[in-house]
Amino acid sequence: MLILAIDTTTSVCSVALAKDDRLLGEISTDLPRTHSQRLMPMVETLFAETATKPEDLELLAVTRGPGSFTGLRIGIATVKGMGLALDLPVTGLSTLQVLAHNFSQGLVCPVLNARLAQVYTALYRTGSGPVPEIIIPEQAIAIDDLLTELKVYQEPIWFCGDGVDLVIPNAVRELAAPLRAPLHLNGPRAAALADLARLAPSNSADGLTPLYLRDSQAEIQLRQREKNEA
Amino acid sequence: MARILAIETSCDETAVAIIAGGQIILSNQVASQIDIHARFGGVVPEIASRQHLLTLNPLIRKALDGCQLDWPDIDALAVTQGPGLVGALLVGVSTAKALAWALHKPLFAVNHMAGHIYANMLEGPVKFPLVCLVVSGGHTELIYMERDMEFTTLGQTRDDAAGEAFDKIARFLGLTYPGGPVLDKLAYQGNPVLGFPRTMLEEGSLDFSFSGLKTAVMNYVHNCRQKDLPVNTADIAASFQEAVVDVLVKKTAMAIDRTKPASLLMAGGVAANSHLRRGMKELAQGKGLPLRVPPPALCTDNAAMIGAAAWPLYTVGREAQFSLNASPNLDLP
Repeated sequence: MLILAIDTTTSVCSVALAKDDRLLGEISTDLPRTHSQRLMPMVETLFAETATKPEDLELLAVTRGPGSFTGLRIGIATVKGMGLALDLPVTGLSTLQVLAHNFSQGLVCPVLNARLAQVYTALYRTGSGPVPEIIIPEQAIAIDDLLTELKVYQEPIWFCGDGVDLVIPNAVRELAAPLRAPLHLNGPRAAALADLARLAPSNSADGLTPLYLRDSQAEIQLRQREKNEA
Repeated sequence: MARILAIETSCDETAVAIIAGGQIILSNQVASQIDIHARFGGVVPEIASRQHLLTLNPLIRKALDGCQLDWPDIDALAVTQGPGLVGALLVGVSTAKALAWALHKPLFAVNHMAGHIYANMLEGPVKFPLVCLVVSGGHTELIYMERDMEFTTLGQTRDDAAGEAFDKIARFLGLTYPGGPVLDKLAYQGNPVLGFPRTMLEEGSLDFSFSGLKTAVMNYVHNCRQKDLPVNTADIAASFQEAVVDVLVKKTAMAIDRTKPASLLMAGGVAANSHLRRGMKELAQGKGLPLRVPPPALCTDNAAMIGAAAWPLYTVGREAQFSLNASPNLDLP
């Protein structure tokens, strides 16, 4: 099965092409300038290098969030457009699960900078099966509250993602054995997404929904106002 | 005749259209988000972007199914590149690029304001050179076009756009959102007896300013309330609207005298306003010019106009690259 996997949920832009259990190619960048300008030229390069045509594809995979709202929409809209054009199924997976899949052993806590003094995070156990097993589900949470939840674990915990620098200083004080991911395992990789997508259920392109983990600021404020009035 | 599938997501309408030969509307789908934004009293960019992402695919399918076409029947794609809300634009741009790539079809990037002007071409060819008054929630501009796709801005607003002034006054008067059409109707029940200012700016200027008028209306209402006098919203609506229309028509008349065009056009959401349509009709008759105004449904945001404006790009093969980005502040070329 030929899979195109796309991740644009953080400052990383990553595309991978996998055929069954073989990674044909992967391009990843972590650079300024928008994903909108980079993504499709990267896909074009990947397809040219691997002598692949869009019609050869059998499955599309995308990280559906959490992450930058605008970023995740670029990836999802792209995959939805491709799915609509080529009549292909789509698999949407959590950015956090994809990050956890960079590791093959132990507890992994991916953290993404959610601003407002929060991180998007979850806790996974890896190595127990082909897919990271979820221990604490995805949430937007204050860093101190996250560390309180993690205190019960006496074993090493790997931290990865663009929120690592926010979390590690306090984690070193609060937790038994926090570990910082090395450079090559710190960001989302489309290859990890492609691997997970082989084993996950797929959906129609139209049915694919984002995973924001947070309402828009306007909705939060309106709810607050309505609560105050009531 | 070549068929273009066009996508528009610059603000709070998700829109898809299929246009043949730049002129024949085969399908024109608009999914409005007005109800979703109403409880916020205006368009919330993040909510608009989220909604576009969920609505666009089904709407593209609906557009194709509606005229029993499938991808092999589509020759090219077009998308609004800007101006507009960047997050909202990006949903359309990303989808359009993916479609073009997957289908091996050319993609054309369209300026939203050019789209509004080209909504007029859906009614048939127009005579150049022309003057077009573009009036919408975000724009008030007088555009001169010597020929196809060549735009010269003669004048533009220095503060609020005309449509923005309509929305703000409507909200101030406690009318339902969106305020423009409500004000339009309400004005018929009142008389333009209140002498609100007509800001003409310096001698000979074709620029606009509506903030003084807006302030005058608000001051008038505050005054009435302070003195416990009744506030006649219908009279206010009629007087405010007459002031706006007066300025728009006078400046357009000046633009005509200066450029001697062969035809007069109007475009944008506020071009659906019945009082402005009447004012412009009288002006065109007085000047002996043919007037073109799109039907109201093609004045507000839609994708048919994007397909129409993509046509001249298609005929000369001015394709967009896959590095195409949304441009929230895009100027007319």
